[in-house]
Amino acid sequence: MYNILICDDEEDIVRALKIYLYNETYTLYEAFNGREALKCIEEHDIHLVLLDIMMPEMDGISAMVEIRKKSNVPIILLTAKSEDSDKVLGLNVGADDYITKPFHPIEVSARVRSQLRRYMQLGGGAVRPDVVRIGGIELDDKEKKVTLDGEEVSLTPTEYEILKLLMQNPGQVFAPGEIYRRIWNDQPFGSENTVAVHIRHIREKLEIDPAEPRYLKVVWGQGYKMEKGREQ
Amino acid sequence: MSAEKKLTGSIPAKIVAFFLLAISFAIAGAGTVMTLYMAEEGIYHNGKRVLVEEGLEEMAYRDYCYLRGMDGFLLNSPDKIADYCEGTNLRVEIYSGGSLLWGNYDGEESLAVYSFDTFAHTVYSDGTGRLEAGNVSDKDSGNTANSYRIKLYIDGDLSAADGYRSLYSLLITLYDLRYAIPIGAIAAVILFFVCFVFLMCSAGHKNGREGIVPSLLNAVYLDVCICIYGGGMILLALLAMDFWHSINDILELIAEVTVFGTAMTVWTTLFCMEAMTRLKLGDWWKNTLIYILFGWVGKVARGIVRGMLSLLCKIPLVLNTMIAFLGLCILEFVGLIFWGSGELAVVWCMEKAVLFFVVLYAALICKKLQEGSEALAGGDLRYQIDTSHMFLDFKEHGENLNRISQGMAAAVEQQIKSEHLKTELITNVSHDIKTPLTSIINYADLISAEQTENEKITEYAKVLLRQSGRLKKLLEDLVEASKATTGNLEVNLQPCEVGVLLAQTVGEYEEKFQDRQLQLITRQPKEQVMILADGRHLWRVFDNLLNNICKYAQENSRVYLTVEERDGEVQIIFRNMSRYALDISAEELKERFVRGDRSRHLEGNGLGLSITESLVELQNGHMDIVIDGDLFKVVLEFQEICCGSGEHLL
Repeated sequence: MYNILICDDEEDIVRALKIYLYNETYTLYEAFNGREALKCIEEHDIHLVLLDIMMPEMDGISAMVEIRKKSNVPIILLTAKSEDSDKVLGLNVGADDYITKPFHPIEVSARVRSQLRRYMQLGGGAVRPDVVRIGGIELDDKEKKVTLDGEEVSLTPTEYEILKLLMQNPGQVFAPGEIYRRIWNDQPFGSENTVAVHIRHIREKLEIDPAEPRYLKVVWGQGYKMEKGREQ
Repeated sequence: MSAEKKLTGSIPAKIVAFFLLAISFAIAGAGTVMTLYMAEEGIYHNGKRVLVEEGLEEMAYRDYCYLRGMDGFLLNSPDKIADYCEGTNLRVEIYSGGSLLWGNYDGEESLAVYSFDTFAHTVYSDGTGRLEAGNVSDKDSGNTANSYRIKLYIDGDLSAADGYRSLYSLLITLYDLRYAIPIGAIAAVILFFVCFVFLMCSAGHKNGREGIVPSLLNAVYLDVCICIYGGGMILLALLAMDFWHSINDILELIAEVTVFGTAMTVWTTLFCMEAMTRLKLGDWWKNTLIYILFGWVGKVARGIVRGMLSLLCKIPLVLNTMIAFLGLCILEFVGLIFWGSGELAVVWCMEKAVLFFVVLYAALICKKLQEGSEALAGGDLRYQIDTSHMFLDFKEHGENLNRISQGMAAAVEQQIKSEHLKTELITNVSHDIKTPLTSIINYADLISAEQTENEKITEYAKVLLRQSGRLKKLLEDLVEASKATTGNLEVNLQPCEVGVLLAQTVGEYEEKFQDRQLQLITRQPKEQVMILADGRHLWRVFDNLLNNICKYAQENSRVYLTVEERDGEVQIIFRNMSRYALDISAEELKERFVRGDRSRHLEGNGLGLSITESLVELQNGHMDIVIDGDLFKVVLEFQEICCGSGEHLL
């Protein structure tokens, strides 16, 4: 049983979200501005907050700052502001994820599930030597197994090798030719396209929105890189 | 006024006036000559008799000369004298020493008597009536020359028709007309001037034509006309001089004056009319040979000067000034050597040395100002000219230029600010629209997911969902287009390997293309090609273009994605066959809200290509669209950068 707080000044949006997220395992609370949200978190044991930014009385960013003073609860920002600068601000101040309006219901529930799983199940995972972890992705080189927010993801051996290379060197940009040389142990004569296709497949398996990847990022015109997780 | 205009324009009037002019001049000329002659003869204060006596004297003298014989040696024989007097009004008496030697004067009344004294050495005799030498010879102690008196009598009746009678009648006529002739001459002069003025006024006018009509002679240059006129005048004058020598009496004088004077007047009048016509036409000096020659010479000179100047302009300013200055110095120096003294040369050298630095300094300032104005013209509004080392007008000029750049910079800043405000407005409005749109999308989705017997509701909800989805896309594109076109987008240019981008693109689009049975063929040069671009924006460009291709390409066709490198320019070319006929120009396609399929079979808002172009231009690239039948081609052009620096940055 998880308690989720939905906070938005638009009653219609709150209601729609409640409908989407409604199932046996979630208990849904609602708030219509930042102050109510803070009060709700005081009163109840909340496991996840969906927070709008632009609200009367107290906006989402200020509310989030207040929440972060006391709690480590996952916060997903939900906003009409889609500028890069807004996203960066939100994530820097303490948000765990970011959804822009108008959102797709499936995306919302996927992101909610992902955050809850990580927070509730993997929160205090022990550090194991053969395991590389970035965000919700865990690569266990001993068992040749990759999990995303605790759920196993099935990858082909080549995809696994590529992901391993990228995850072991987070933040480093690998050109497709370089990846080809490392994985296939061969000179890439026009085979960079193959690498690109593999990367796309990996992204489709790991990312909620492959067009806006959180982990496996495309550096256009240069190569690919794994985002450095905030945990590192 | 109009009557006069008509008169000045009518050709018969002009001809009449012209003839009147000629005749009046002839009369005036003749009258003047006659009047002068009469004044000379004293017609106005002496009596008629004196007039006749004096008028005939000349003729009588000529007769006397004939009678006396040649060279003073001879005296014609009485027979010859008698023969000579036969049929004339002349009667002769010859005296020697007071006694009559010979005579045919019979004592009738004579009109005038003229007596001449002469010496003669010999007197011819034909044997019948020998004339003896008189007492005169005694004085001279020799018979070589004797004194004679010859008396000439003019017959009072003038019974014979000879020169005396005609001259006499002329003189009488003149005497009778002695007051009429000057008056007539004056009248003729007045008429002459009237005609002349009329002709001058009418010159160039022609009935039925507006304004001044150039004559047929207009094609001839004015100075050529003057030469022809002068030549004619000189010819006439020569002819007149020729005739002048053979003038014998007053009648011939009158005739000559009349004929040549009139001819010259007519000639002059013709010339004056021509000149007047041109004067009235205005710009008469342009129709002269001299003007044209000078104009031609001027043009050639100007061309030469301009050529020299343009040649000089190609040499940088400072060098230019120095060359001019040194050239002048050398010229002066040469002059000084030839005409100057030693002390002067020293002073001159010192003065030039000082002047050299002054000129150099001024040229350097000019160069600085030129650079500043060039920067300003090139759009660098932050450029400020350092005026601290400048003086006088240079300083003022430099400060003015600085002020211009400041003013312009302020204006540009204002412009940028307003562009920012515009984008901000669009962004804010789109935020406000997004919130209600979220609800619309969500509830439409909920309705469509609802289990209901009424299928129509589901169907309608799907329409709502689809259309609100389009609205969402349109909003996003609108914001992006506004940002991209106003340059309100952060652009982070980095070296970007085109080959890698191509591979990544293929990876992203492989499946999408396969779904549409499109075959993507990429071609690129063997060497690495690097360009300076913002990877994310460039990907947006690729994404838009490839999305377009997916949407509009003919199924089962090939799509070519080619990279070409030529002279430091990298061309990325997208080529595909269109599914629909492209009845639209490339220029139109780039405009906002224009779509390739006019009938709008497919979704889209027509902002794609506009955004794409703006994004390409933000990255200092250039986008070209070529439509060739069904072939749709997009060419992106970027500057290539050196590979070395690219790898260093990687």
